[in-house]
Amino acid sequence: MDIVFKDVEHRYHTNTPFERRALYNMNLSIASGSYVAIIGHTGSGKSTLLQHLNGLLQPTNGTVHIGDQIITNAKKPKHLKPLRKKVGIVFQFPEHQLFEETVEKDICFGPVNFGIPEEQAKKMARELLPLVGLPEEVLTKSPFELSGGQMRRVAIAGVLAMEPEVIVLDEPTAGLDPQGRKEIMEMFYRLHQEKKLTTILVTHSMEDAAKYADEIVVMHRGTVVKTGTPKEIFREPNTLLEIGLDVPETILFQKKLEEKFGVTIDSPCLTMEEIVEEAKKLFAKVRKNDE
Amino acid sequence: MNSMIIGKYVPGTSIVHRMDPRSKLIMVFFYVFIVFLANNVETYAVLMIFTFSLILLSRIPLSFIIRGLKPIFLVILFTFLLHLFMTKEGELLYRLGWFEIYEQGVKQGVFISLRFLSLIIVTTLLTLTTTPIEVTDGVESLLSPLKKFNMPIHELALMMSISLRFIPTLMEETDKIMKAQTARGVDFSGGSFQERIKAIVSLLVPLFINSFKRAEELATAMEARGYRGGEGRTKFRLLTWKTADTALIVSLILLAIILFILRS
Ligand SMILES: Nc1ncnc2c1ncn2[C@@H]1O[C@H](COP(=O)(O)OP(=O)(O)OP(=O)(O)O)[C@@H](O)[C@H]1O
Ligand SMILES: [Mg+2]
Repeated sequence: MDIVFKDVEHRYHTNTPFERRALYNMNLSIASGSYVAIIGHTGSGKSTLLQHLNGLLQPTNGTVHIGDQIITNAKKPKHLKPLRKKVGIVFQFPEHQLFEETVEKDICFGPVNFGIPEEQAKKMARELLPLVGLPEEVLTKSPFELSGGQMRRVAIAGVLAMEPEVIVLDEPTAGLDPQGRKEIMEMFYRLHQEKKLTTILVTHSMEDAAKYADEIVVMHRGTVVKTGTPKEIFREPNTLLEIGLDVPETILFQKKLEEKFGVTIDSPCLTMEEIVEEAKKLFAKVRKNDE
Repeated sequence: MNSMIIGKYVPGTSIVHRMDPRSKLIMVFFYVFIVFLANNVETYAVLMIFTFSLILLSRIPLSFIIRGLKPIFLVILFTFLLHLFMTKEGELLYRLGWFEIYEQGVKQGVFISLRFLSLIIVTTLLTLTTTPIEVTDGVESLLSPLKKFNMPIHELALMMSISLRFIPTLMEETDKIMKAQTARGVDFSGGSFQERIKAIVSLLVPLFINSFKRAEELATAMEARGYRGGEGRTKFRLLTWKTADTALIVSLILLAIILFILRS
């Protein structure tokens, strides 16, 4: 399912003193099967953008195409259920949506709503647990007995159990420990590769964006200021730094190196290996010149 | 849900915004009784003029108030119809089978609706132009004489300010959870009875749990910052009674007198 935003604008509380433009001039296309990271300062409209992906919000102007479904500001579209099954959203702090008596029931809640038979949903819940890093014992526990991180994993499993074609992740690892973060991010990346799952990730971690995404969308104050591959985006770290965003540590290090030695390194280094390689080359050259 | 304005505060600098919360509270309190003085066309006209002057003074767009009160209009309509059909006095105006409309019915219906509308608008104006903190400060100050009789006024005011403070938070959270559950296939606007129950449970359980958690965190945070109750606690905002406040009370008394003279 390709996703295309055309001149999308979204205002909250239209026609009230509280009116507020959260998105404008949004043009964006996300190809089926790609991994897109959306980065942007807090309040730049990322979560608002995500809610357009399954019709939770309608644009106040412009159109959103998701597969063959078109969403505009015209009257509330009906029959959004099939769309919502295909686009699974893991919201910011998804643990707040848990409510069933047992973890198993909560994971099955989504799929059963979408008409998947209960037995099959239960089977899926069992299979998903190791994937999100939970032991099987938790199935019969109440979700509220779990730790925050474990609740997060249950919520994620609950969305994965819907077997969506597009998975939308709103800062899925905020507040998790570094190990847990890495596990979860790796898990999503594997799913993306194995099942060709279109993945849209909102993140404040530039490292994650650089590492996993095919394409990065930079948002600022409600609109897209830049899109491109991680290399393209991080080639000019200054644009990002100007709008208050971070860049990966390796890029910062590269910048320092370049300034110190008065050279330019052709391609931006996004991983530790790359930067080490470049630094080695540079030092070798410097040593040679010294001799 | 977002258009509902009862209990919301709209920032502004109008004369009504700047008034002392105590005068506004006194006004609203007595207005509730004064409204019942109206009983004929003239008195209701005066009431309406008073109501709309207040709206004008507050500089809050009328259209905003009307849109925000939409849910209330249904209730008003219902009351109107009830009076229209149930009152069987005066001249018979219309008949269709067993269905009869009397002159007094129309009159009563209109009057009661206007009374209701005026009450709602005036009380809504109070919250629209006064921050929750000001409201509680006002209440606490007005009720402080009762402290002599060992009434926990400070605690009551605190409870009130906390609940008022968390109404928007609760609304926001309701919106968020509804969206999260909608994304998981819940349909909040339709479905069978059982599906509806399930939908409501999927909203209420997280809402309650989060509220309890928040209450606990709030209590801890207050204790950590040295809150020990009202005894000897000074105020950050001091209330000042101004000329406008006296003017408001005087106009309220005038309103009562005028209504008393004009009523039949
Ligand atoms: N329900 C709402 N009602 C009114 N305004 C809102 C609402 N949700 C978001 N906004 C406003 O829209 C703007 C964009 O908010 P959004 O939540 O999309 O930002 P974000 O990029 O996701 O930020 P964060 O990184 O903090 O999650 C903000 O200015 C916010 O105040
Ligand atoms: Mg957000």
